[in-house]
Amino acid sequence: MSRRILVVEDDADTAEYILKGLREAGFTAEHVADGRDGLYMASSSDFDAVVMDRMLPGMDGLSVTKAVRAAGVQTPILILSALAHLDERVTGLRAGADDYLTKPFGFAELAARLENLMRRGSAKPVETSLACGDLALDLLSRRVTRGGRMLELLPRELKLLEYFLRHRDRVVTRTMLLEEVWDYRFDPHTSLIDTHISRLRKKIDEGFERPLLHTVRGSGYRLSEAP
Amino acid sequence: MNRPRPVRSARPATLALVVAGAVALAMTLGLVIVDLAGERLIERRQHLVAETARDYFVAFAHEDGLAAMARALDHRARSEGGAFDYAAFDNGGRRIGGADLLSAEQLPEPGYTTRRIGDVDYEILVQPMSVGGTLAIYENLADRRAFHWAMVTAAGATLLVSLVIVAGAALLLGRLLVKRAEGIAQAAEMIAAGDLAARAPVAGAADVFDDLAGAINAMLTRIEELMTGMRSVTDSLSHDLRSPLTRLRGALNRALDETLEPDERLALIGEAQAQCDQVLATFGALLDIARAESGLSRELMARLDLAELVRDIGDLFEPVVEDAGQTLEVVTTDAAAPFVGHELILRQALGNLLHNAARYAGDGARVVLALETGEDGGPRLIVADSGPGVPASQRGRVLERFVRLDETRSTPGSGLGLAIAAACAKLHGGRLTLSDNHPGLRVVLDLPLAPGTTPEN
Repeated sequence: MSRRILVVEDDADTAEYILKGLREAGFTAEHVADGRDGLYMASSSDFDAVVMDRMLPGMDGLSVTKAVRAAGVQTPILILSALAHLDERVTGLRAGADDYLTKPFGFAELAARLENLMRRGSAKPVETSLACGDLALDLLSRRVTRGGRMLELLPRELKLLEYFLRHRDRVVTRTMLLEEVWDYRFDPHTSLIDTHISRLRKKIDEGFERPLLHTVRGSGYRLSEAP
Repeated sequence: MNRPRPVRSARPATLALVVAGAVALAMTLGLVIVDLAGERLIERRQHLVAETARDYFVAFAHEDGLAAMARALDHRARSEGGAFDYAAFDNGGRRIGGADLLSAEQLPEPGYTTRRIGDVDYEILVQPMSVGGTLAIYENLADRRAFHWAMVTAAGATLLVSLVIVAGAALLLGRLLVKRAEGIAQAAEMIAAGDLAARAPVAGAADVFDDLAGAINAMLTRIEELMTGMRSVTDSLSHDLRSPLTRLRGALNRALDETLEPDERLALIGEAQAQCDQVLATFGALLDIARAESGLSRELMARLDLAELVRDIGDLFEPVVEDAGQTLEVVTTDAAAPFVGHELILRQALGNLLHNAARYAGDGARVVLALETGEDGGPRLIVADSGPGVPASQRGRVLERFVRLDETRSTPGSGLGLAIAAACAKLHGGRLTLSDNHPGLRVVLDLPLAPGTTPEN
């Protein structure tokens, strides 16, 4: 069953860029260019996720999001915005959005975040351990083993690994890691996240035949058994 | 500069006209009041005279008889050339003495009556007497009216003279005002025309115009500072955006080469992306600074734990600091340090300070990130390193936007790091201080005890 995504975006080029990407990635994408239409579609039809532009004719994205939430619709909403300052993300999330992405963005970043949002929606049983192949994290004792061997991880490495395990097989971008693990905005001047990843990789992959933590060029990283 | 300004040159005359008009109106009103009150006063006085004479002649008639009284009237008419004439009539209606103005039949009713006799107006008091006969007292109103007219003309002349004086004074005052205001207006025009060094003239009279000129000049000085600052920001900004954009364009250009291997092309595109990110980051940082400086972010202040924030940021940056060959020591309390602030910008500020330390403190340096209590009891965040430090003379400069002590800008960075930290301090009503760490740089971000209360400068 193909997943349906509603794209509310008034800029034709951006909309086409998103729709093309979504369709190539195997989603069914529908598009409206107006805030009121967006509100109508989002609250009357069953979508798996909504990509909502912040500035829209008719009704702006934040108001649409608030109205959709007020109508009791829990579809994950990702807000796209050209407003790039620190506070925007917070106002977006306060309005009831689930994620916030600043324009310009790479499609890989958008896709990774949408995947993340749609998985989050499905209810999971309470887990006591997380695993990927022969790598396991016991959430109660905070112990990590790979192939039965104990690995010594620093608390921050554990935090990072837990995030990867919870997003297993999915692309995780640097920005997502900074925002969600450290509440910090992406800064391209340093290889902040790359440094953390290479340390984590050294601990969980070094000395093992099959690497689990993969670099996805142009997007970020993926923890997966598959290469 | 001295173009004719018809509207402005009309102003002194307008002012004079308005003032003169107001004065004229006030004086006319005063004149009317004087006129009415004066007339009443004269009338009462004249009535008093008439009634005193009446009582005197009535008493005279009582004691000495009507005929004697009539003779006295004749006598008075001869000796007195005043406004009053008198006449006595006997019971038969015959005039027995006094002025021959009316016959008994023509006499009005007893009491006061105004009547024209010949071409003269009289006020006539008619008094029948108990001894018989009638007494008539005529007051020639011409006197009263002449007096009245003299009063009105005198007042009118005064009014005219005052008007001329007031109008002249107002004209002079207006000229003076316009002249002073024109000096200020000219300075404003010169500023508008681009001469930022122009200043409003101060006459040294310590009056309201000097106060105004002083205030305007202070404002102009501030504007000039801002404009100069803005100019250097624009220069730096164009450099900081132009460089990555140039590199971005270069990478894309090279990626267009058809003979490239796919791997090489991907590497070039990756580089283009990195340059693009740098431009975006510069923009984002600028926006954050602008928002923090204008206080727009204040609505997002919330309760947070500074100890946890410091541990978190230390955690995030330790690998970067270690990779730079340095050690990071995080000093904070185990207990929570509650504070109301803007968490994201605090994190960003501390992150930037740690970035700077990793970038400039050099191999082997010791970096300390600490949360302490400041002298005034408020929380104090410290990032100190044992690197080469910043000379005291340069410490003020590095807080400015885009300032990098490395003039050639060969090291990476947007030069906005410390400016964000400074804007963060400003947003919280705190203070950012740079000092010598003996050796190295010690950056202290003092936060107020309660948000909004500024520590003394």
